[in-house]
Amino acid sequence: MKGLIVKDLFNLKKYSKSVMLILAFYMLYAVMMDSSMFMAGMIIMLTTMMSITSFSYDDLAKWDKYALSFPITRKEMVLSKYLLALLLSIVGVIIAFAASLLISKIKTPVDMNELLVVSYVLLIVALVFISILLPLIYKFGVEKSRVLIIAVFAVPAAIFFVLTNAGFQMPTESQLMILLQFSPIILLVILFISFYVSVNIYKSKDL
Amino acid sequence: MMDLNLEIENLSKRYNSFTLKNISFNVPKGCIMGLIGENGAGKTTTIKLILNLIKRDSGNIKIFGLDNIENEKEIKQQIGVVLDESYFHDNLKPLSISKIMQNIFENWDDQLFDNYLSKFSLPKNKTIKEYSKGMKAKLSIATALAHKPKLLILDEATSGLDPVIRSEILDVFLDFIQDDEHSVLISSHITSDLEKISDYITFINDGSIIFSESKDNLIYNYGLLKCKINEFDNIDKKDIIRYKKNDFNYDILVKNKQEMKIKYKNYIIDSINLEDIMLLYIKGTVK
Repeated sequence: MKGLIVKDLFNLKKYSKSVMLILAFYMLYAVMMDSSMFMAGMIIMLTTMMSITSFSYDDLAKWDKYALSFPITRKEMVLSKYLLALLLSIVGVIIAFAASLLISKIKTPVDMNELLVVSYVLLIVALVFISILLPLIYKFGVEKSRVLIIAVFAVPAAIFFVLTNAGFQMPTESQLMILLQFSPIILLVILFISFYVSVNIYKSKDL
Repeated sequence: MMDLNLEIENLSKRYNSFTLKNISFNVPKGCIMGLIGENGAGKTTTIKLILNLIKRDSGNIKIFGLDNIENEKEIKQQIGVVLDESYFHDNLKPLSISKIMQNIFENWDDQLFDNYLSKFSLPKNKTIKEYSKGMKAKLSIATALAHKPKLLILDEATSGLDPVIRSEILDVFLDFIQDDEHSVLISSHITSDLEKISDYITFINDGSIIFSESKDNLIYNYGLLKCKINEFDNIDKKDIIRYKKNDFNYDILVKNKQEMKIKYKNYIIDSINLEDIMLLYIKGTVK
């Protein structure tokens, strides 16, 4: 299974160079605006989306059919994609954190704790996003899922909008802190359910 | 009978527009089995079922004497596969393939892979995208051989290639079979290629097996009886497997050529090649 992740990293090598370029652009933007929030979000989104791109590459080469003729189970195929997404998201968070730190050093200083919390929240968001999107990709294929990405973003935003308009109280800071404390467990449960669903979809597929 | 590397028994798979019906055949050790049939006859479906890429509806498949689903991982360590149009990503180089495959196959041999690359004169510093079709085919065969498999499964591995490259590739298969633990299952619609190298031929038509026998038997047994239009009624209906009416004569596919030669002394009975057998079976009329 390690071979599968090695394969994805090889494939993404060229693509990551163009991602670096976009990244540099966002850093420049962050320096000019003296705010790294937007940049951090974009970096993590870019690296997280790279795992989606790896699905497109596989489709193009009709890779799955070939890979499954090797001593690789379908479960391992799915697991390799989750691990890749996890790896890329973490790399994204590290880059975003380092870049934010760098910018805060040359521009307005930012509280270190705040930076850590923001990075952590971004990682959680990225992994929840992956947990929703991967089963959709296994079900509908990566091309159709590109449209669904918009929905994955739009639906929570819409719910949030409706709730606040309906006069719902925003959670207090202490409530949010409790949520943050429980978030690793919640995240693990979400990832596990997502993985389980993906494996079952993929197992029943004829290739 | 433990001399078989692949045993297929009553295998069925139903699609909306196509059904593979109860097919059975075996591939003995030390042999090349050619799988022939039209496009869409069921060759690829059969190979996909062997590799468990699609779910079978019924039947059994044993590879090296083991069930192909229960012992899937173990078996696949020892199978080399070349699929039609399904391979590594275009932007990879042979070196990357080597790095990927050594993390997948226990027996992957970098040196052996390298030897094949040199033998096939494949450039190591080019991406697959820059390879010609023939080079891609050779690269995928090198990949399939580099983990020292006991069974090679090839789906249309030589289709669309020029005769020189095809004969080069066929030689590799003949070489592979020198080890009498090895077997090859190769599907193709280029029957002349299979006629050259196969020990056995399995002919699939419309999801059913027409025959699965040794090539020598086939070539020895089948014959082409030619008769004039007005002589057709003289031929015993039960001797006609298939016939084709031409402008001035009939081509009739017969079995047991030697007996037929005695029975129909006044007619010409020619030897027949695999391609014509296949054509008459598919295009010819049933008695």
